[in-house]
Amino acid sequence: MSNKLSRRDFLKIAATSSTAAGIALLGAQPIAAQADGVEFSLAMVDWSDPVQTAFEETIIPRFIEENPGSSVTINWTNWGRYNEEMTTAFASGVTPDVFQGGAVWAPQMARRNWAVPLNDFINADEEWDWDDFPAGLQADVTIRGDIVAVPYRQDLRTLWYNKEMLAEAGIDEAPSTWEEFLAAAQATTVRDGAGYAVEGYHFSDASGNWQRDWQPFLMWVHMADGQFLSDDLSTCALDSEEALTALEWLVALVHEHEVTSYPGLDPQGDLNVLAGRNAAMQLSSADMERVINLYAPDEAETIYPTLPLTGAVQATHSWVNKFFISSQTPDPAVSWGLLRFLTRQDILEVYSASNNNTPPRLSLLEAEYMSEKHKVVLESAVYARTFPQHHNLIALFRPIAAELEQALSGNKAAADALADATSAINEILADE
Amino acid sequence: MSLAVSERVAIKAEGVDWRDRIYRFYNSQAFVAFLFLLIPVLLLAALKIWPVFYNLYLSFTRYELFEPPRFVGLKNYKYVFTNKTAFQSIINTLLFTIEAVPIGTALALIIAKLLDQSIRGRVFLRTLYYLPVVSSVVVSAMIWRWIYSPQHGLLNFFLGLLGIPPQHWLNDPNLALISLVIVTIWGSIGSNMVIFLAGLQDIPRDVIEAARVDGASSLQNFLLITVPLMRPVILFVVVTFTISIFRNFGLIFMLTQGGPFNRTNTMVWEVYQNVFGYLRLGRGAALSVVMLIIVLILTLISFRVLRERQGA
Repeated sequence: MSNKLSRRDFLKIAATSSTAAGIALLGAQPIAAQADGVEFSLAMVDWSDPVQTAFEETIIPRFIEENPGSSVTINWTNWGRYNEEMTTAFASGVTPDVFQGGAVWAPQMARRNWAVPLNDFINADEEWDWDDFPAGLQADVTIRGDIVAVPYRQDLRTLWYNKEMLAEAGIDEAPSTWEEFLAAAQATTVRDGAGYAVEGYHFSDASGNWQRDWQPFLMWVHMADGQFLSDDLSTCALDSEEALTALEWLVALVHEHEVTSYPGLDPQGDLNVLAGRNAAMQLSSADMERVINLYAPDEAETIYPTLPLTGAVQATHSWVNKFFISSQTPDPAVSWGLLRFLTRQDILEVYSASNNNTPPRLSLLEAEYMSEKHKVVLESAVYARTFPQHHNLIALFRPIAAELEQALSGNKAAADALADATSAINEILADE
Repeated sequence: MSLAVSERVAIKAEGVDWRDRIYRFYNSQAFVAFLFLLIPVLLLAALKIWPVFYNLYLSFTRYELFEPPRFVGLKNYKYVFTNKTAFQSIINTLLFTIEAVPIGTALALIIAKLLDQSIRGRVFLRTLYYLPVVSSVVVSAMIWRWIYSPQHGLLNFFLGLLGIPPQHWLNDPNLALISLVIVTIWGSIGSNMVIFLAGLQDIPRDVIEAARVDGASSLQNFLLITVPLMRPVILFVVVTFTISIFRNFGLIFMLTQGGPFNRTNTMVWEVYQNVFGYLRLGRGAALSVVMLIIVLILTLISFRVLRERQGA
C-alpha cells in the first residue's frame, strides 16, 4: 500500500480537520476576563482629544505606577452608540470592569442589576471622603439606599450671554428674570428676511438630535417650578400649570416675540451658535468656555455665564455623569480600586481640567484650572435639580420630544401638547 | 426457528449493500463536498436561521435582558398595530420604499443604458457613479448633512441664487423623508447601475439592430426592446433595493434620528429604539417579524407583477 497521500485523501483530511476545528470554535466559550485583579478594562464615553491625552499620558500611567503589574485597557466610544454597546456587552457577558454612565443611568443600572452597589466599599474605606461630594450628587447616584455609582462630572446649565451684543443694545447687566431676559432677547435679535441673522435667544439647534428640545425645555420647567414626574415616580407631572407656563413661554418666544427660530439656527461644526455670534444668549454648561477657548478665542472677553434665571423660582438643571462597576466584573473589590482612583481628588482634577468639566467634588472648587467663568457656572449648583430616579427615562422622554416639536412648530396648542405627552408617558408608566 | 437460506442470503445482501453504500459515499467527492459544506451550513444555522426563530419566539414575550423572557401572547403585535409611533414607522417605511424604489431603479437603468454606449469618458463616469457605493454611510451622511444644512448648506446656497428661501431639509416634516430618499438613491444608484450594465450585456445586439432597421427610434428601442428583456434583472434590483431600504439604518441614525415629527421614524429605527433605547426586546422582535412579512409580501408582489408581464 502506497504511503503517498492522494489528492482525495488530502482533501478529506483537510475537510475533516476544518469541520472539527469549526465545531470546536462554535462550542468554545469566550475567554473570561482575568481575575488576577491587575488587568482592568474601562469604558470611556467622555471622549475628546484632551481627555484621551490626559488618560493615556497622565492618569493611567499614574495608576500603573501606584499599582505595579496592573494594566488598564480603555475602550473609547461616543454617546451616540454607547447605550447600544453597553447593552450588547451586558447581554453577551463581556463587560468592562468599570464604565462611565450618563445622567439617567443610575436608576437604569440599579433596576437591571448591572452595577455593583458601592456602600460597603465606601463605608469601609476610611480615607474615602464621600462627603466631599455635594448631597444632591450623592442622592443622584443613590437608588433605594444603594450607592450604585460615583460622580465624575456635573453638567450644570446656566445662561451664557454675549456681553458686547447686550451692551450695544443698551443693556449693561445680565438678565436675571424672565422679563429682563425677554427684553434683552428682543433688543438683540436681528432678522434677516424671513429668517434670523442673530437670535436674541438660541433655544435649540436644527440638528437631527431628538434631545435638542427637551433638554432646554426641562430647564424652563424647573424655572417655572414644575417637574417632570410626580415625587413617587408613578405619573407624569407635565399636565401642571407650571409646565404649561414654561411651554407657553417658549412658544411665545418663537411665534409671538420672535426672538428665537424653530428649528433653531445651525452651529458651524464645533462652533456653537452663541460662540459664532449668531445668538446673543443660550443655556449651556461650562463646555461653552471650552468651545470659546478652542474655536472662538476672540470671544473670550465677550461671552460670559450668569446665574440661572428666576421665573417662579431661580432654578436650572444638572446632568450628573458617573462611573459604575459592572456586576460582571470578576472581583468588585479590585475594580473598586480603579474606580476609587479615577474619582480621587487629584485624578479628577486632571480629568476635569482636560475637558473643562465641572468637578463633582467640593474640594476642587478652588482648583487651579477653575476660571472665574467656571466658578459662576459652579455657583448654579445650589439652584440645580437632577433627574427623577426612574429607570426608563429614555422611553419617557420620547413623547415629550415629539409633542414639543408639535407645540413649538405651532401645529398644536401648548396645553394639548402637554396633555398628549402626559397621556403617552402615563401609558408607558402604567406598562412598567 | 431458523431462517431459510434464501432469506439469510437476502439479509446479508442488504447488509452488504448498506455498508457498501456508506463505503462508496465515504470515498466519493460528494463526501468531501459535504464536509466542506458542513461548516458554512452550521454557521448559517447558528448565525442566521437560529436567530430568526429565536426572534420569533421573543416576539411573543416581554424580555428586558436582565430577567428571563415572559410569555405575553400577541401583546407585542397589538402594540405594533395600535401604538401611534410604531404604526407610523410602518407607514413611513412603506412611503420610503414607494418613493425610493421606482425612482431609484428607473434612474439606475437609464444611467446604465447611457453608460452602455460607446461614449468618451465612459469608464470615468461609471467610476463616478459607483463612488457612493464604496463610501461609508457615516461619510456619506456627513457630506449630506453639510449639503442640507439650513444656514451653511450647499443646496440652500444654490436655491438662494435662484431667489428661493432656505429650506430646513432635514427638519421640515414635509421634506425630511424625501431628503432621505434622495440620499438613499444617490447611495444605491452605483450598485444598481452595475447590475443593470451586466444585464444589458446579455441583450442580443441583433434584436436591437433589427428593430433599428425596422425604423424604431432609440426611445422605442429602449422602452420596447431593452426594458422587456431586462425584466428579470429589474425584478432582482427591485427586490434587493426594497430589502436594503427596509434595512436602512445608518442614514437615519446619522441624519434625522427618526424626526422631525417621527416622519423618518422607520421600522428599523423603531426596532433599534425599542431594543437598545428601552430594552423592550419583545416589541422590537415583533416589529422585525412584521417587517419580514412586509418584505416577503412586497417581494411576492414584485415577482407576480414583473413575471406576469414577462409572460404576457
